[in-house]
Amino acid sequence: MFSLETIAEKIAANIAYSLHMDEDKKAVMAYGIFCFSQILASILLVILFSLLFHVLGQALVICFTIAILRKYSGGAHAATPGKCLVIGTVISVVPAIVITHIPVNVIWVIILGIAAFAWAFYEVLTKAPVDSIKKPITNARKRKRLRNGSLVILGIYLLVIVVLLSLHSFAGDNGHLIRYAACILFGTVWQTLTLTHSGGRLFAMMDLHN
Amino acid sequence: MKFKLLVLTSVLATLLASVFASSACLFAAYQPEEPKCLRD
Repeated sequence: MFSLETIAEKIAANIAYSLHMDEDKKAVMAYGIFCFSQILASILLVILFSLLFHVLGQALVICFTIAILRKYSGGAHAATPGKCLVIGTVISVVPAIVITHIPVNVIWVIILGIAAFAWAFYEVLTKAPVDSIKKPITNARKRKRLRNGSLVILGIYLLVIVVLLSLHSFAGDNGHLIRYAACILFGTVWQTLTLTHSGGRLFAMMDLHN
Repeated sequence: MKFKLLVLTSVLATLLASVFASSACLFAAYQPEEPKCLRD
């Protein structure tokens, strides 16, 4: 069966054989090649499906909001790369379609934003970084650096939302800026959910049903 | 030429692996097994 992980391992094995490298170097190369191809596939799928529904900008904002915070905070994982691609695409494109088509109200974005960011800061402070068996984070300094990084990213998201809502109020656009703020808000809420036990259970359920 | 391409790919792959190793998890929702030599 087609698997990015297998292809990455084969490429790394060929290079390691040709350059007379040891097993450690081969494993590091396979990891690098797989990570790069998985990221590329995730972004390409989001671009493809969001173009079909005319929500490219919104879907990419959700996708990168989740991914950037996830880099520091960690979170629940899918069991296989394929399920990860499906979950990542659905979670970026479906909310983008909904946010684009429902009426959004600046007051509601502010109310939900305050609640969401209070929750996100609490979860990040108490849980981040959430590691996995395949990538345990045991070093205390690294954990502290990643937690602080998560808090900085959350602060930046909050600032961007405030700027977008202020611009909307002063410049009076036709709702695009509120929708982008709502996309950042959704991405933050989803990524925060993956830090919790409920998020872990949700991923486990999706793994079973995919 | 082929040798240079292999060396370049190996350098880039190793560089990317060390960049990804410094984060809590990968960009997307799947985390491959991290090589032991890259941990912490």
